[in-house]
Amino acid sequence: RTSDRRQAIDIESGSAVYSTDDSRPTVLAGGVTITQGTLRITSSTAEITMRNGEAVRAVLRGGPVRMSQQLDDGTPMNSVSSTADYDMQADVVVLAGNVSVQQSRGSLNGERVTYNMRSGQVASGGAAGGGRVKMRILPKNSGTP
Amino acid sequence: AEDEEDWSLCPLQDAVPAFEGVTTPTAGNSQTRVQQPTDIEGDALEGSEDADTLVQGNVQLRRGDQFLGTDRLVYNQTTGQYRADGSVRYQDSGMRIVADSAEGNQDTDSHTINDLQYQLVRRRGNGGADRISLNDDRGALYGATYSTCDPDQRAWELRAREIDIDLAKGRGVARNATLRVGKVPVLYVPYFPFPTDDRRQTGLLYPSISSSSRNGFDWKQPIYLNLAPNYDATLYPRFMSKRGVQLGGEFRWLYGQGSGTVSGAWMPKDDLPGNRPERYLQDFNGNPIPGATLPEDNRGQFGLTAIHNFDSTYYASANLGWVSDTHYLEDFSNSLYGVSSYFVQSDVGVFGRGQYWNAGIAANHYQLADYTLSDANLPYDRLPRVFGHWAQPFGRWFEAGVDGELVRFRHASYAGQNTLFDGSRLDVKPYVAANFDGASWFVHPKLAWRYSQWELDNDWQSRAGLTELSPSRSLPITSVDAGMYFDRNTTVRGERYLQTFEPRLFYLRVPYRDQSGIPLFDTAPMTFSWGQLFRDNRYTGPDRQTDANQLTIAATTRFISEADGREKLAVSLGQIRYFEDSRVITPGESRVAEGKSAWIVDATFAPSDRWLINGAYQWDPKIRGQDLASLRARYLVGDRGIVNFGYRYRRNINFNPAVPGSEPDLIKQADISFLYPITENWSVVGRYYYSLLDKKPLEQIAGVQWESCCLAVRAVARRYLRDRSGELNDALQLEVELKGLGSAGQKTERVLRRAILGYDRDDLYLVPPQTVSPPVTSGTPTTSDS
Amino acid sequence: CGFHLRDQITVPMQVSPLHVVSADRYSPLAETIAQALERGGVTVIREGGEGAVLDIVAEQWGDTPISVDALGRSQEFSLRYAVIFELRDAAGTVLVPRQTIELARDYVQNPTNAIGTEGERETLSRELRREMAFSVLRRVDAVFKSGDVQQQNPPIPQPAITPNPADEAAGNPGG
Repeated sequence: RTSDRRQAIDIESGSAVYSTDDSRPTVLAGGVTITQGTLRITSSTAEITMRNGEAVRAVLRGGPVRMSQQLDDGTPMNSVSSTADYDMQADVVVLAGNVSVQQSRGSLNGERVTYNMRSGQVASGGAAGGGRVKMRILPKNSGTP
Repeated sequence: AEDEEDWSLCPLQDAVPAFEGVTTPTAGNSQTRVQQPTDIEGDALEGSEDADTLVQGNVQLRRGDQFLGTDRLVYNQTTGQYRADGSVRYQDSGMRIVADSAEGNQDTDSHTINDLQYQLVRRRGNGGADRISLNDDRGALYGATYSTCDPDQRAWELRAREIDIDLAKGRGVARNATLRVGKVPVLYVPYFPFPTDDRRQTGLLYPSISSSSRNGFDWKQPIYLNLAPNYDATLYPRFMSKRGVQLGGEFRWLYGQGSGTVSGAWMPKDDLPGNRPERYLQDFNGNPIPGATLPEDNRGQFGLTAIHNFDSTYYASANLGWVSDTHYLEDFSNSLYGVSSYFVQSDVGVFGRGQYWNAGIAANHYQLADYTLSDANLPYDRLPRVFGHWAQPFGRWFEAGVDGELVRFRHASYAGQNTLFDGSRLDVKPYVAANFDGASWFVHPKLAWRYSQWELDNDWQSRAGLTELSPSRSLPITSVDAGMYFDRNTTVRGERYLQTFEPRLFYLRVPYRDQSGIPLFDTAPMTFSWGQLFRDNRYTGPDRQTDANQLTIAATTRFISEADGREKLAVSLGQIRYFEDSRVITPGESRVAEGKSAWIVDATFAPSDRWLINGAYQWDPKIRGQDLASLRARYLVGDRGIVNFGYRYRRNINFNPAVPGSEPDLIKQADISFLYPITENWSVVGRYYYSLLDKKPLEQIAGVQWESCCLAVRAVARRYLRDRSGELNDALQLEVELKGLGSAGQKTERVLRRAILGYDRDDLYLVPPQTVSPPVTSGTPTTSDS
Repeated sequence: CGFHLRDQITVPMQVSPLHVVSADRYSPLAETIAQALERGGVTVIREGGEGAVLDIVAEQWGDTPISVDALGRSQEFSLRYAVIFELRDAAGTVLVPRQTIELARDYVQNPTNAIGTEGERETLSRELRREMAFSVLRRVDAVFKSGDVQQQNPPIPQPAITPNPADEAAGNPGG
C-alpha cells in the first residue's frame, strides 16, 4: 500500500554484523525478515546500506527471497526470486533470478522484474535485461487462481 | 452421404501456413475460450494492473484454442481491451489469419483485424479481406474473397462485399458476390451459402449444365436438404430450353432396422412430343399407330427401394418403379443404358432365412416402358409367389432337402389377345443326395422327384384350345456329379505355379413326359453356357422339365501362383454327350438331337493385378460353326486410369431361314472404352461401341477432363443410340466443378460410370451396387448422388 | 506328365476351430463355405467361442446390360458377384490378406419375349454363389500351400465396399 512507506521498518535476523560507518553495509544472515506496514520480505541474508543513520538500500539474497504486500485495492501481491534489490528512497524493488510475481488478477514471471511500489508499475525483460517474460491473466469471474 | 473432395492435387502448403510452435487446435469455441486464463509472453513487459500493460518483442497471447502473435501488444487487464501491431498472426479452432494490425477486447471476445489473409482450419477455404470483425464464433469479412484454390493458382474465386462466416454452424454466406473462374466473372449471386467444415449442409449443390440436340440448354440445379441425422432429401429443379421445366426429388431415410429411398420426377408440360409428333404417332415405316396419343402432360417417374429387417431372420424388401408412358425412359435418359431397359419391374416381399432354409412370399409386377414392344412381350406378373428352400446335411455324407413354389400368374395383357391367360402352379421338388468326397475326388449322386400341378383359367380351354385345365406332371430326376483333382508344380517364365487338372463328369437321367399341353408362364430355354453343362433342367422354370439321358465331360485347369496364391489362369473345356434325342421343347425350338453338344471353352487370365482378361467360346460340331465368341479385357492404368476392350459374337440359335427377318447372327459387336490419365491434371475419356452386324456405332464418347487442386472441368461429347428408330443423339456435356463450393461434394461422372465399366475406380469391381433384378430406372436423369 | 492326386488339404492348426463371419448373419455364401470346410475336416463354430475368423467383409451383386441390339434394347446381361474376404487366426493376425474375387455369368434376354429371364437370373445367382464358395476356399488353400502365409506382398489397395444392408439383402433372391 502507498501508506506502507510511512510505517516504521523493523528488521529481524538470526545474526547481524553492524558497521558503524556508512561505507560498509550491515550484513544480516541466518534468516532475515523485514516488515514495513503490509510489506513483508524474507530472505536468508541481507545487506543493508545506511546513510546518516537511515536505511536507504537493502540487497537480499539466498534461499528464495519472498516478498508480499497488500495493494491499495486490498488484493495481495507476493513474489519469489533469488535476489531482491530494494531502493527505499526511490521505492523501487528489482527482483532477479526466475522471478515469479503473483497478483490476484494473474501472475508474471521472468528473469528480471522491476517493481515501482509508488506507481505500481511493473517492468521486466527488454531494456531491463533478462530472458522472456511470461504473464498470466485469470479470467474475470474465476476469482482465485 | 456426400463424397469426399479429392484434394490430392493441391500443394501441401496451406494458403496461410501454420505458425511454428503453435499446434492447430481441434476443438474449442467462444464459450469455452472465455473461461480460460490468458497467457501472455514477450521479450519485455511493462505496465501495472490498472493501466495498460505493454509487451514487446515476439509477443504471444494464448487463451484456450485462441492464439495471437504480434510484435507489439498493448493490453489493459481491467477493460480487456488490446491492440496488436506488427506481423499479427491470429488463430483459433475455426480460422487462421495473418495481418498488420488488430485490436479487440478479450473479455467480450470480439476482435477487428485489418487488411488480412485468412484460411479456414477445418476445410480448404482461404482468401483475403480488407477487414474482419470477429465476435465469438461469427466472423464478418468486408471486401473479402473466398476460394479453395491455392493463393498463387487462383482457378476460381468468390468476391463479395461481405462474407459472414458462422463457425458454430459451419456455414459461410457471401452477399452480392461475383464468382470468377480464372479472370472471367462468371456469375453474380446476391446470396451464396457455402460450407466452412465437413458437416452435411442444406444448400445448393453446384449445377450440372449440358446441352443436347434433344433437350437444348439443360440446367439442373440440385438442392440438398439436410433434414435430420438419419434422413435427408435432394430436390432437382431442371430447365430444358427445348422442353420445359421438370422437378425431380429424392428422399432417403435410415433407421435401426433398415433404410430406403423414394425418388420421383414430374414434368407438367413437355414440348418434346409436340416438336417431333411423328416419333410418337407413326411406327418405323411411317404408317400411323392406331390410338397413339402425344404424351405431353404430367410426364413422370417414380421409384422406391426400401428394406426393413424385422429381426436377424425375417426381412421385408420393396423395389417399386413406375413411368408415365412408354416413351419416358427414352425421352429422359442421358445414357445408352437408360434407353436399354424396356420394362419397369416392381417387386415387394417378406423373406426369411435360416441356417438350412430360406423362404418368402413376394409379388412381382412388370410395366411396359418401351413403345416398340407391347404388353404381350412382358413377363407374367406373379401375384403372389410363395417359395421355400430347405437343404440339410445329415451326418458326414448325406443331404436331403426340398424346393417348393406356389405361384399365381396374371398377365398384364390378359384381355388383349388369345395366348397369355392366367393360371397358377404348384411345383415341389424333394431330393436326397450324398456328398462322398476326399481330398482329391468327389462323387455327388442325387435323386430328386419333381411334382408339378397347374390350375388354368378356363380361357385356356375356350380360347386357346387346351383340353386339360389342371394338368400335372410327376417324374424322377437322377444325376451323378463326379470329379477328381490332380496337382503338379510347374515353372512358367521363371515363376513357380501350382497347376491343377480337374476332370469332371455329370450324368443326368430324366424320363420323357408329354408337356405340350402345359402353357409357359415363366419358362424359357436357358442361354447355353458353362453352367448349363451341370444343370438338371434345360429350362429356366418348372413349366418344362427336359427329358435327358446325357453325360457331360468337362475339365478345368488352373495356374495358381506360389508367391501369393492368386489364380493367374483358369481354362475350362466341356461338352455334353446326348445318348438320346431330348424330345421336350418349347414352341419355336428345335429338338436337341442325339450326339454332341457344342464345345464350351471358358478362360480367365489375370497375369498381374492390372490385367483381367476373360474369354468364352462355343463351337458347335453339328453346324461346324461358332455359337459364341466373347473376349473382355480390362487393364488398370496408374491408380486412376482404366482401359476396357470387348468383342462379342453370338449366333442366333433359333435362326430359321423360313421365318422372315430371322437373322443368322444375334450379336456381333466390338467395344473399347478408356479413362487415361495423361498427366496429373489432364485425363482423356473415350468409348467406341460399334455393332459389326448393323454396321453402325451404338455409342461414341470423347471427353477430356482437366482437374486441378480446386477446379475440375469436364467436357464430354457423346453420340449414343437414343431411340428405337436407331437415330443417334449428340450430346455435349460441359461440367465445371468448383471443388468445395457445393454444400455436399457432388460427383458428376455418373453418366460415364455406366458407359466405361469401372470408370470410377471404387466401383471397379462392379458398376454401382444394384439389386439382382434389372435396374428399375437405370440411367434416368434423376439418379441421386448419395 | 507329373500330375499326382491332390494331397490332403493341409489345414494348419491356427485355422481350426473357425468362424465364418459375414456382414449378413445368414449369408448363404457363409453357410456354403462353412459346410464345405466342415466336410474338409475343419471344426466350424456357429455361435460364440474363440477361433480363427474367415471374414466375408462384403458381398456385392451387379446386373448390367453388356450389349444392346440395333434398336438400343439390351439383349445380353452380365450378372456379376464380387466378394471381399479375409482370414485371421484367433489372435487376429492376418493369415490371408483382404482380397477380392469377382465372378460373372452372361445371359441373353430376348426383348420380345422376356418370359423366363427372372428364372435364369435366379439359377445363375445360385450357381455363382456355389462357385464363389469354392473360389474362396481355393484361394485360402492356395495361400496355405504357398507356405509363406505371413509375408504377403500387399495387394493393390482394394476399394472398401461397405456392405449396404438394403442392397445385400435385396440382392438375395429366395428359392
